[in-house]
This record gives sequence, C-alpha cells and structure tokens, in this order.
Amino acid sequence: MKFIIKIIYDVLLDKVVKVLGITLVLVILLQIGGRYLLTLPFSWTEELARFLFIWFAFLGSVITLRSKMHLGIEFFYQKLKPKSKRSVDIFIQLVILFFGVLIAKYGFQLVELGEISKSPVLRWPMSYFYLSIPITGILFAIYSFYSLLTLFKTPAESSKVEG
Amino acid sequence: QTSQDVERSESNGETSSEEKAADDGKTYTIKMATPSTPSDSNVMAFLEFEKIVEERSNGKIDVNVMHSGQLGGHTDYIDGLQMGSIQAAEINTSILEGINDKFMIFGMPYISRSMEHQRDVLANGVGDQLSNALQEQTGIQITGWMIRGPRIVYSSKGAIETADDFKGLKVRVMESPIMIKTMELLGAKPTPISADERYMALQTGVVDAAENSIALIVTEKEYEVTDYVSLTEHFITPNVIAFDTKFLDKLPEDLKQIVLEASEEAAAFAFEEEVRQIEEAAKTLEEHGMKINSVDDKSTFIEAVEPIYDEYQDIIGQDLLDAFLNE
Amino acid sequence: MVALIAFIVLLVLMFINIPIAISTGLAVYAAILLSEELTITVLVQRMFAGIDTFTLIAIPLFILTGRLMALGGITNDLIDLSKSLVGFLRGGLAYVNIVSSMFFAGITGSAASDSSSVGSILIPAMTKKGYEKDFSVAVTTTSSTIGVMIPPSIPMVIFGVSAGVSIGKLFLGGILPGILVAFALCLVTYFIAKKRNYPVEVKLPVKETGKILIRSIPALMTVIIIIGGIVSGFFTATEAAGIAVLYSFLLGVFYYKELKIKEIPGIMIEVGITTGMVALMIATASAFGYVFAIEGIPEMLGNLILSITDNTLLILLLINILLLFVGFFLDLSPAVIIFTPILLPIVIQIGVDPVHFGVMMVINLAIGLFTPPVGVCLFVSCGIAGISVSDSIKALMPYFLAMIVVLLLITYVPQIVTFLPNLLM
Ligand code: NA
Ligand code: NA
Repeated sequence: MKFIIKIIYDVLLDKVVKVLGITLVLVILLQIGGRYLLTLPFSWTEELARFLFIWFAFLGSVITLRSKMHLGIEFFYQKLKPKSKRSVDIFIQLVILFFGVLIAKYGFQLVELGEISKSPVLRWPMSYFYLSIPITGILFAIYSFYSLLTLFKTPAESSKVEG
Repeated sequence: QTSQDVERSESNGETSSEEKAADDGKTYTIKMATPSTPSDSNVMAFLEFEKIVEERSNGKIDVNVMHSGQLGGHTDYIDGLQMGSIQAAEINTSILEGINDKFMIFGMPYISRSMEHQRDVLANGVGDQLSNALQEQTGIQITGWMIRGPRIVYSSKGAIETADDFKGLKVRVMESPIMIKTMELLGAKPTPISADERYMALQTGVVDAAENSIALIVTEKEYEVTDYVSLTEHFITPNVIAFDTKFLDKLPEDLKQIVLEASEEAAAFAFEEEVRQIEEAAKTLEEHGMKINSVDDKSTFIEAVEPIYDEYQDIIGQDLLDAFLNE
Repeated sequence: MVALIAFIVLLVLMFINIPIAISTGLAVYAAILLSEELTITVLVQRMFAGIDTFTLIAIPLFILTGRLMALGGITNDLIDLSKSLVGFLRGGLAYVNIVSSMFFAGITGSAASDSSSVGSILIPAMTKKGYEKDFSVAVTTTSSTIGVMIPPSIPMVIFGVSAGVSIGKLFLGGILPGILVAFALCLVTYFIAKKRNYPVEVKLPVKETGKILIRSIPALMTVIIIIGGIVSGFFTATEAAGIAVLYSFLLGVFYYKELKIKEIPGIMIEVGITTGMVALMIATASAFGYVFAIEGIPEMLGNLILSITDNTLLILLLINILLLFVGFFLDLSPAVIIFTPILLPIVIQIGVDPVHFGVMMVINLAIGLFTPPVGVCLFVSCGIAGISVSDSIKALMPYFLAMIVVLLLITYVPQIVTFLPNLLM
C-alpha cells in the first residue's frame, strides 16, 4: 500500500503538476509575446491557459492535502488530549474520504454533462476540463483511506499520519 | 407485484389527464437567471415576463428574476438548467456554438441584414429547428429570441465607409476565431483583448478601434476614448430565453401555454426596447461629441467577408445559410 | 433557513480542524440536501465555475514570483535595507519588521507568506535582543497584512473577479492604505518602545547601505513593473503577473545568480501546494455563495441593512462591523467570494465606488488574518515564536485598535483609496 501511494503521489502526481505549472507559465508568456512581439494574435492561449490552470490548481490541492497544508483551525484541536486527538483525527480522515467520494461521484456526472458541449476556441469537449474534479476526488479519497489505515495501525500515543 | 401495478397505474393517471388539465392548486417557481443589469433590455423583458406570467397564472407561478450575474454567466446557466437549479435563463448564441455547430450561423458576418431580417428568418422555421436541435442534445429549449442590437465599429482613427478604411486598423475583438477571421477578411488587424481591459487599450492606443453594440459605448463611457462610430452592423447575435424542458413538461397544460406565450411577448418586448435603447444611445453619443456615420452602402464589407461562408458551410449546413441568404 | 444551517455546518466542521475548503464544500452539500430545488451536481459545477477564470491565473504567477525572488535572498536584503533606514530608532527591530513587511508587500500577494518570511528571520532576532515574544508576534502579524494591500495582492484579484472591477484600479487603490497602515503601526510601536525602553540597532556604514540598496532595488522594481504594465494598458493583470515571473526568473539567474534552472520544477510543486490550498477554498466558497444567492440571501440581507438605515455613513459602518465579525471566522479569500455578491449591490445602490469598497473590504478582512479563532497570519507567527494564540492576544490589542482607526479613516475618506486610481487610470 505504502509503495502504491508513493508511486501515485510522489512520482506521477508530482511530475504531472510540475509539467502543468511550467506549461501554464509558458503559455501566458506566449500570449504576451504573440501580441507584442509578433503582432500575431493567438486566439487559443487564454483557453489553454485556463485548462492548464484548472488542472494545476485541483491536482495541486491533492498535493496540498498530502503535505497537510490545507488551512484548518487548530485552535480547539490543540487543546485536546492525545487520546481524543486520535479519535478526532480518524473522524477528520473519514470526512475527507466522504468529500473525495462525493466530488468524484458527482464530478463524473458533470463530465457526462460536459460531453455534449465544446470549449469555444479549442473546440475540446468540456469534459476534458470537468474531469479534473472527479480525478481530484478519487485522489482525495485514496489518500484519506490510506491515512485511516495508518491511523488504525499506530498506537494512540504516537498518533500521527505518516507520509 | 400488485402494489407495484397499482402505483404504476396511478402515476399513469396523473400524467395523462388529471394533472395536466385540471387546476390542482399546486404552485411553481421559475428561477430565471441573467448576467445583465436591470437597465438592460433583456432584464426588462424578463421582468415583463414575470409580470405577465404571475398575472395570468393568478399567482400559481412565481417568477424570480435573478439578474446582475448573481448566478454566474451564460455558460453556467446551461449546466444550471440541466441540473434543475434554475428553470429559465438568458443565453447568448455564441455560448450555444459549443453545443451545436448550427448556432455558428449567428457568428457569420452579414448573414443577418438587420434585426428585422433576423427576426423574420427565425420566425419562419429556423428558430424551431435550432431549438429542437438544442433540446435533443441538452433538454434545454428556446422559448423566445431576444435579438440584440447590431455590432458596430468605433474608433479614434476616423470613420469607416468602405472596406478600405479597415486596412491596417487595429481592432479589439473577443477571443473568437470567427471574429478574428472576419476582421482579417475586412483587412483589419484583429487584437484579442479581454473585455475589462478594452477601455484602457483604446485609451493607450494599444488598439485603434473596437466593435460592440452601440449601447455599450455609453455604459462603458468609451466615448471618452473614441471619436467615431460607424454603423457597420457586421454581426447581429440574439440572446435566447432558454427553458428546462423537464420543468415545462411538469407544468399543467394551461400554465405551460401561459409561459410559452409570455416568452414570445417578452422577446417582442426586448426587441422594441433594444431598438429604443439604440436610438437613445446614438443621441447620447452625439451629445458627447461623437460622430455617427450610418454606412448606407455595406456592399464592400459583404463582398470582403464572403469567403467565410464557404469555409463554414460544411460545419453549419448549407440549408441554414440559405435560409438567411434567400429570405 | 437552509443558508443558516449551511453556515452552522461550516462552523462546526471547521472547528473540528477539518480543512476550511472541505468544510465549506460539505456545508454546501448539507444545504443542497435540505433544499428541494438543488441537485448535488450543483456543488461540483460551481466548484469548477469558481476557478474557471483567466484572471485567477494571476494567483499562481504571483506566488511563483515571490518564490523566485526569495531564492535570491531578497528577504534578508529587504530586512537589511529597513535596518539602515529605521534601525536607529528606539525599538529598532520592531520598526524594521514593519518597514520590511511594507517592502516585502511589493513582491508578495499574500499576508501569510509575509508573516512566514519576515517573521522567521525577525521573531528569533527580536527574541534574542530581549523583545517579548508576544510583542514580536503582534508586530509581525499585523504588519504582514500590508502584503495584501500593496500590490500584488491575491485577495484584490479575487475581489476584482467577483465584482467585475478593474484589478489595476484595485492595486493602485491599495497602495496609500498600505502605507497608512505601516505608519499607524509605527506610531503604536513608538509609544510601546519608549515605555519599555527597547534597544536600538547599530547604524550601518553608508557604504554598506549603498551595497544593500543596489542589491535590493531590482527586486523592489517588481511592483513597478506590475503596476506599470497594468496601468499603461499593456498587460492584463494575469499577463503582468506572467511578466513578473519572467523578470524574477531573469533576476535570479543573471543578477543574483542564485537560481538554477533545474530548481524550477521543485519550486513549481511549492507553488502547486499554495495554489491548491487557495483554489480549493475559492472553489467551494463559490459553491457556498451560489447557494446563498439561490436562497435569496443577498436580497434579504440588503433589504435588512437598508431597512435599518438609508444613511450612507451608517450603512458603511454596519458593513464594516459585519465584515469584522465574518473575519473572525472565515479566511480572507472565501469571505471575499461569499460576501462580495451580497454586499456589492448594496454599496452601489448608495453610490459607493466599487474600487473604494473593494479595498475597504480587503483591509477589513485582512484584520481577520490576525484575530482568533481563524487567523492564518497569527497561526504562522505564533508557530515561529513558539507561543500559544491566546498568549498573544493582549499584545495584539493596541495594534488591532490602530488598524480599526485606519479602517474607519479609509471608509470615510474614500480619496485615500481613489486618489491614485483616478490620477493614473
Ligand atoms: Na502585496
Ligand atoms: Na480571524
């Protein structure tokens, strides 16, 4: 399990997000260059940039989850005793799992809706754009499921989700 | 087994006669979305629709016009109608191009010779044809066509009389391939810039001209940065009153008729109001010192853009092009 | 009713330490379950629509600019520069903290990155010099909010997108209020430093100062490039952010010579993490705002406020109180997304300039960044100092009051905001 998680999140996801981010910057620079250096208007740069940004942002949020960087309120949580902290941790992961499944399930419905419409300039099916949501949901769900397993394996004293 | 049969026959009974015809005392809510603000002719038409429907249905239908983009923009409404979170919306045909290529017909320059011409063609079957195509794909139907004022060119570089005047002119366009192509065919240098940067681009001379409906020059105060309006009328694109068919089919027949008739009346109202606003805008612009050039002979433009019809005839369909060209 | 329950679900989940973005998403889910009209697909559709905007691409680009600059050692340079400017005053390091935050604001779009960059260097330094930890935390967090006032600013981008207001104007509008906040914080520091007799810093030799100046000026030019590009109409906000990335990249490689090309992918992951955090909050907050709108909350709240009074001054006061309250519980970005569509129609109706309102709203909610229970900058600074949030509250009070005074000043003297945009755009 640990190995699979490493492959999905540290190798694949990492590479994809890097490529998306760098391409996004290049497309924006191309848009400016096209207008001011070549006086050649690219009509597709804006839409492609939006496509890249949506994927970059949603997949980025999966890495945010893995790095435990999503903003939360630890104000009350930190006042808890280790034992209750563990129960809360389990509850938190269950909620994240539920959220992941939720947006995966309904995200796929959105993808279906998007199959009939095409993006205005590139004429790509909108489902290519929408697919970012259910994929993100699945990645959220798998990771929180893995975190739950880790939580159950570790004794209450040192309850800390491993990476 | 038996209980299921009973259930089925009951529901059959409901849909066949009772619910559709009779006054069952049920009330309905129509959430109607538009991104425009209350002074816009389309929002005024929606408010007119609200008045008519609520009056004629004796309050059985409550219409709720959600304007000013409270529920997002045109693109969002398509999903909203399909998911049933709204029942009706204003949608521009340029958005519908993404769903069905036929809607590209409205993107063709000079395919509609005037607002009246477009209204007549739509009324002669083309409107129904497009609505059916859309409904088949999405379950969204078009209950009214709100024809918008023609797009015209305004600039700081002199009036435009013939295609020659476009030569080398940097014109701001939307990021639409057809629009870019049209401007290229006219000899201009199309420059795609987002709407919120248009004023600045005109002011700083990043572009020489822009094209839009005349009313927009007033609302965006762009008369401050341009001097000439040329009524080139190169595009006429309608907004549609879009309805969720599932919702319409749920209505009792009498109420459904009220909604459909009110839609058409609202569309007619939008037409009159749009014409009034165009005249008013022209007057206002003249007061601000702009020169308005009526461009009586558009033949050089029409000739210049003709190749685009050939390019798109396979995509849009010759029959649809002919319906406009031959009317 | 549905909206109220959604709000309660949001608060409960948030306080259990479930990520704010996910709490918001599930609050929307609860609202949809209760509402007869909405289907759950609305949640994902609005999440998508919430971030499907070209202008929002400015967010990762501004974050990337900040990261690239940081590699060139800019944080240390800006702190050194501030030392040579204000270090000789009594309580020198406190002033240095405020002034370097003001400089830092010109390259960062968020307050949290200001707290962590400036704070991680200055809080330990201040502790060493005998400043109380709670005082250092107070100075660091309050001054870091200048990061969202002086451009670039991620919350201003988000407001501009939600309200359809020119981001160039908002950026220009934030400059004077940002400087004013710095001034007010310095004023408070003056009295505290005098009373507690804080130390002064050794004056740097002129030659040394000159060197630092030469090193840091190219980085400080970033804000000029961004503002200049947008104001001249050459670039859109997103494009200006793209140019800023290119500029900071070139600076890092050729001027500071600290940046290696092979480091770029790694930096991209850091940008992805921060963008992902902000974007998921924007996404679910958009869905939340949509449910509010469908339920007719904007109109209801508008009518409520207008029924209390039709006096412009009082309405603005009510709005400020509402937003301060909101800021206690919501983070800046989601609060902007949820409350802009609710409040904007009201202020437009009473004739307030949307640019003025936007800056006022961002500054108001920026105060929420250092007020518990939800205050990101406070969390960051307390984390660095190793003290608890509750221990910092007393030291925060005078600075909190100073910012309230500035907020009121900006509310009732709109020219502080509108002067620059009207002059330049
Ligand atoms: Na900033
Ligand atoms: Na707060």
